[in-house]
Amino acid sequence: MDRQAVALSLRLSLATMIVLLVVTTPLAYWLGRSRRRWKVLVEAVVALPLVLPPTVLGFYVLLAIGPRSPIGRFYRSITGELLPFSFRGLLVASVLYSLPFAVQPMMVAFAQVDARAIEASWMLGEGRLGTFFRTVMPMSLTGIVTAAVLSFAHTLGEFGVVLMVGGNIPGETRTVSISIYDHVQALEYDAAGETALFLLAVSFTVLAVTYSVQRRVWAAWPGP
Amino acid sequence: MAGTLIVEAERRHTRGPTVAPSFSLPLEPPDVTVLFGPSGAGKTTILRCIAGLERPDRGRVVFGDVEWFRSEPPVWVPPQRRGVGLLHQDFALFPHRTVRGNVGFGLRGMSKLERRARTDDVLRRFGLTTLAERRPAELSGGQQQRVALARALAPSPRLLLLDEPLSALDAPTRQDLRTELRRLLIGARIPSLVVTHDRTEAMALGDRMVVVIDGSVRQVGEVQEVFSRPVDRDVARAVGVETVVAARVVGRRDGLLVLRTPGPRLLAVDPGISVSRVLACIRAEEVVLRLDEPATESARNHVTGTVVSIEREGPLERIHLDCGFDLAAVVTPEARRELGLAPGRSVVALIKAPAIHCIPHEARGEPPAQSEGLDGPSSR
Repeated sequence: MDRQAVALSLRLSLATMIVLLVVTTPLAYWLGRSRRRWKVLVEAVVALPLVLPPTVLGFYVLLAIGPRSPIGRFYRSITGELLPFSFRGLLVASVLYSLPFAVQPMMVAFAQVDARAIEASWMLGEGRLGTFFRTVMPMSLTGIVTAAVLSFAHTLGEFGVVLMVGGNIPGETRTVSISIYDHVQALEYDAAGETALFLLAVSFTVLAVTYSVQRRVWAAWPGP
Repeated sequence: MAGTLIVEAERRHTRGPTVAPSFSLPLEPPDVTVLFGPSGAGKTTILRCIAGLERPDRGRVVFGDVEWFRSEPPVWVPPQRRGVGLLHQDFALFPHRTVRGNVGFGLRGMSKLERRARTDDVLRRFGLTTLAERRPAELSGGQQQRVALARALAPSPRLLLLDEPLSALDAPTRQDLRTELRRLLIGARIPSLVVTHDRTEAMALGDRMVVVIDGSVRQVGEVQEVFSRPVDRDVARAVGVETVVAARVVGRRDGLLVLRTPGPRLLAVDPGISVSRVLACIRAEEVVLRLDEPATESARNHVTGTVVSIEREGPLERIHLDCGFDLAAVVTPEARRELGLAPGRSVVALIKAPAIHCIPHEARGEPPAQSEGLDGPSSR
């Protein structure tokens, strides 16, 4: 089993999950609760990674963060490094790739929060931010947990985007799926099988734990 | 604490009528004021404009000496800083918090210890101590209402708004809770405004009422006065009951109540009332007029009165009698001619006991039977 690749994949998944939770919470809240008509356009953009082939997404990300793009140049001027074929570049790509998996469960959860509970919180003197943390978030916990798990699991399993943006640098961009692919290419079926089994076990465990947690969450907080 | 609520606002909706209330209302606890009107009249919109959950398109909203909203020059106080308590129609309790967590939610600017003490105090006053660790889903409708009221009153608001407070409850509970809710409101000593479309609720809960029809205020006055003397036909249709008499239960027998009124005693069917003060309601259609006292009659109430006025009402005529209280009856023009009814004429009105509908109405002057109210803001 390629331990280095496993460690890298877990690190990447965890980082992606954290970035996504922070970045997408306001976006999902806006999408879930705003009444603006043009928000469907934003929804469509967010959902694009669901239907685009990973290679297409990877291709555009590569262009966007490449040394000739404004983003790439800006990044280089600050850090002196290049984004493509680096862990951070991979992180950017993963965040975009898993975006819908984080946004959609949260959006649905936020949309389902009763407007009257939010108003009740306001009437009791709580501001908008406080209302979000004390009322909206606890009432959307299942959606947030689902978003976290899905973005983690989805990043763990990504292949095409990693190949396009990250390449195959051991310890930097060589993730589990790439490692498995390499082993198979080299006809090392035993090594590939071990890593694959590990990935399967991790994914299953994470999902099983999540679903059981969700069940318990619902049992403890039955709706009115 | 008292204050005058001034609402002169206009709120347009893309769908539905424009709501343009204009009223100035002294709110003096323990008086409870009812915002009454048919469904869709704009009552809830008015309430939400007062709460700050909706912004009127223009006008102003003032309570006491604070301006909450003004369109020109713009003034806007957000709902968080109005110090208004709101009881939502379906209570809107936080499902993830316990009863204690709900009640203590709005307490701020105090230490953890103070907050805990204050929460315990409120829980005790509302009889919720034993339910403190339960979640809203484990409570009955009536208990949920009490929690919501306790939650709204815990931060000692300057004004309490209630949106159809009894409509989310099933009918038997509703009947029980009308009296209890009025006691709690009187005991809270906070100006309160109740929105309702239900006349029974309006009479059971309110002292004064504001009648809203098609988005505007048509009449403001004492509950009994509005019901007995609606200013126009729209209001009359909305209130639906022509005669309302404040009465005291002075006797009970065989499922009947003996009522002492400002006029003669009345006999009414007992709907299962435990309190001694009631409002007796009589529809004009239920009153039969005669010139002389009948020898035998099934109707139990024979009330002598003098005709005060006669008004044309569609194909019928409405007769106002003075029997010690105002009593309205409707008759056809032929009947009026046959009886020779004219102002000053003395007649006998017959009313069957089941036609007198009694609504419990605890007087505000009386100490509530079981005081459960909160301290006023003075205890802050």
